[in-house]
Order: sequence, then structure tokens, then C-alpha cells
Amino acid sequence: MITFLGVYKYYDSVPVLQSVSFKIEKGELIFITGPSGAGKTTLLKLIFGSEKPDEGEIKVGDFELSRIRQSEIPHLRRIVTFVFQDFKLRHDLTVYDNVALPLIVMGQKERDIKQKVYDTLKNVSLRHKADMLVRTLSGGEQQRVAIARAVITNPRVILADEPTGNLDPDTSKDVINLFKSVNALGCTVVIATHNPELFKNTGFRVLYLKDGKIIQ
Amino acid sequence: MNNYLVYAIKNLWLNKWSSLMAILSLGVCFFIITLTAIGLYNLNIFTKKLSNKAAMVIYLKNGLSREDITQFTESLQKKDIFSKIKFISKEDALREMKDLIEPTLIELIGFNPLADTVEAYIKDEKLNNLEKITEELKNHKYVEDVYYPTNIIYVLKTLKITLWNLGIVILSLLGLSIFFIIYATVKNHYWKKGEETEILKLLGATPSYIRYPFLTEGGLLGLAGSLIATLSIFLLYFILYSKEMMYYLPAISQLILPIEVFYLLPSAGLLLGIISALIALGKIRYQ
Repeated sequence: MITFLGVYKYYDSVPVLQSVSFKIEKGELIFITGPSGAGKTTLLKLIFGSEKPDEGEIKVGDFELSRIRQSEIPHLRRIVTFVFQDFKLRHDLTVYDNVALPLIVMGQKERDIKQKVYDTLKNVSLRHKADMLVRTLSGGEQQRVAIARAVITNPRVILADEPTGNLDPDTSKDVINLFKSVNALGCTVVIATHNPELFKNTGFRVLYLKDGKIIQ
Repeated sequence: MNNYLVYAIKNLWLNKWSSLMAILSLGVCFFIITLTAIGLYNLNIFTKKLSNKAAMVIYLKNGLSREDITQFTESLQKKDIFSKIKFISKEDALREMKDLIEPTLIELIGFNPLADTVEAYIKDEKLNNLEKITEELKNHKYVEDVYYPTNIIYVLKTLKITLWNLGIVILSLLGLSIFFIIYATVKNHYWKKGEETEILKLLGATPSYIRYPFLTEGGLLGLAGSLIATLSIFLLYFILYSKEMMYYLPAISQLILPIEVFYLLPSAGLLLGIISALIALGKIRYQ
């Protein structure tokens, strides 16, 4: 599903990723960890098409990201979705509207959208808050809205950058469980975190990054 | 399309003051542009009419036969320079003269002092070659002399060129102003929606999906501005053609307002709005 082959990335001649090679299989849930500045976010951005590698090759499904054109990125982002640490939600819209946004962008019919949004909100236990403005929700609830928005298009890959960074331990556990349930449906999930508690004794594969290199 | 239109109208309403200012400024610009264009159009018609009335008089040599004259007038017609050619024999000219001057005065001279002439009306588009044409005709074996009201035509030509240049400067400057007003307004609204647009890009929105509401907005601004101008021109037309105005300024009736203005102007406004908005948005880049 995702292949990195000898990938290098520099910011102002400073190497952020060096000779990174790994493979993530379809339907896998994987954690990427390491200290701050290790290159976790850059790695996710490369998979999402936000950045291009300076050297090496990255493949996500049929997309060759080292040579991807700007016009192909929207199509990549319909199969690879991102859950951001700061959620990137529209605070002027309701929970329903935020979750419906990717389907509207894809041009789906309003009737289909309604059913899908309510089903997805039910899965993240936010059905009762559908008409509330996002800004009135707690951090954990906003994170669940962000996850609902990421899963609603049935993507093949979900990327999450520090999805529990702003949450308390109990809410963090709920969020990770949500990712696990999405993964159980066959979606590949890549979670970047510096919190070892999230992957300890879970049995999922962990990539450890340090100074832009994969240590283990 | 319906969604984009609703979105664009909402966005214009959200920024109602800047949108209103832009529409009013566009209305003024479109109004002046249209007046200038109508002025130039009428100037063109006026100068054409005048130059068509001014004929070149070709004095023929004495003693030419009918055949020579026919051959000469046919050769002129073949040149495709003149819109109308009219031969006036010296006898006809004398008859006309007798209507103007006391006949006894002419009888005193004792002979017909006039020459056979050809009145030739030069086509408007050939006026630039006037000197060359005159020179060629003067050198013709049947031609005694050529007269043309050069000064009047020269003044008319200079006036026409000056007014056209001035008109083009006005049209270009105001055209540019229209472009910049729409460009700046759409760009400003696009920047205000920066965060919203970034989220859309992250969710897989295509460049067209992002562009369409702003292109619609640009089109609406251009259309609204040009409609204000169209309406103003329409009102001005009614005022100018009112009985009272005709009484004081009868020359007004000579002014022609091309009816095409009423659909060309809004179409131009719409098109200019979309093009300006397209340039304002530039390339949509994903990060």
C-alpha cells in the first residue's frame, strides 16, 4: 500500500529524513514514533502529498509521489485522509456540515450525504451533537468530528498526526479505539505520536524515527 | 452551478460594503467607457459622411472626344478608389452656372470658359493615399488639373485621429481600472477565505471546485457594474431624446445609439469579471 525507498528530505539543506525505506501493507495499523523533530510529521506530509521527497521514491497505491503532479493531489487526498493535531475543522459550521464537507467536495447527492453523515456520527458517538457548532465542543469531541470527517469517504489510508496531543488519557484511549475500529474495517492507519503509552502492548508495528532515520 | 451561485452571492453579501463600492466604481467605469465608445462610433459616422460629401474635381483637357472621356472614367472606376464618379460636361456646367450668375455676364465673355470635369468621391478607407492619388491623376494625359478640399479633409482627419487616440487611451485606462477593481475585490475575498480554502484543499477539493465560486463572484461583480452602466445609458438616451431636449439641441437627433450596447455591455461585464477573477486566483497550489 505505502512504500518508501531511500527517501531523503531537506529543509534549507538541513536533512529531515535520511535514507528512509519501509513498507506498510494494506489494512495495517502502524505507529510512527520518536522525539520531537525526528521527522514524523514530515513523513506523514510526504504520504499526503503536501511535500515532495528530494531523493528516493514513495508509492501510495497507484500514486508515485516523487513525480506526482499538482492536479493529481486532490485525487490522492480522496483515498488518503489526514487527522490533524489541531483538527483543521470549520468552526463556523455545525458538526454535521463539517463531516459532510468531503462528500460535498466529491459532488455526492445531498440525500446520500445525509444518511452517511448520520451513520458516521453514530459510530463516533456524536449523532446527538450533529446540529451543534464545532466551536462549542470539547477537544475530545472535536477530535472525534475530525476522525468522522476523515473516515466518511471510506479512504484506503488514514494518517493521524499526534491525534491525542491535546487530549486527556481517557479521551486519548477512546480516540485510539476509534482508529482501531476503522482499521478493523480494512483501512490502513498510520499514527504519528511521541506518546509510547498509545502503542505499548498493543501488538501493532511501530517505526521509531530519530534524526530523520529509522532506528527500528 | 446553482451551489456556486448561492455561495458567491453569500460571499458578496458577507463583504457587502467592499462589494458595493466595487460595483459602483465598476458602474462608473463602464458608463464612461460606453459613452466614449458611442462617441467614437458617432465620430466615425460623422467623418465618413463629411468625406463622402467632399468630391475630388478632375478638370479635363480641352478637345477630348466622348470615347476618351468614357475610357478615362472607366479607368477611374477600375481603380477601386472612388465610391462614385460623375462626369459633368462643360455645357452642363455652364447651364448650372447660368442659374447662379447673371446670364448676361456670361454672354459678355462670348465663349464657354469652363472645362469638362469629373467629380470623383474617394472611398473613406483610401483617404490616406490622397496625395498619391492626386499626383497620379495630375500626370494623366487627359487631365488638366485636380482640385480637392485638402485642408478640410486634413483637419477632419487630424481631428478624427486625435479623438480616436484619446478615446483609446480612455478605453484602455478604464478597462484596466475595471480589471484591477475586480482583481482586487476577488483577491481580497479569496484571502479572507484562506483558512476555509486550505481545509477544502486538504479534503481533496479540485482547483475548479475552489475556483468556481470566486469566478462566479467576479462575473457577478462585472455583470452588476455593467448593468448599472447599461441602465444609466438607457436613462440618458431617454433624457436626450425627450421633446424638451430636442427643442434646445436639435443636433441630438443626429446621435446614434447602437442597440447592441444593451446586450454587449452586460456580456462584456460578465466576461471581464470572470477573466479578472481567474487572473486574481492564479494557480491553485496544494501543500
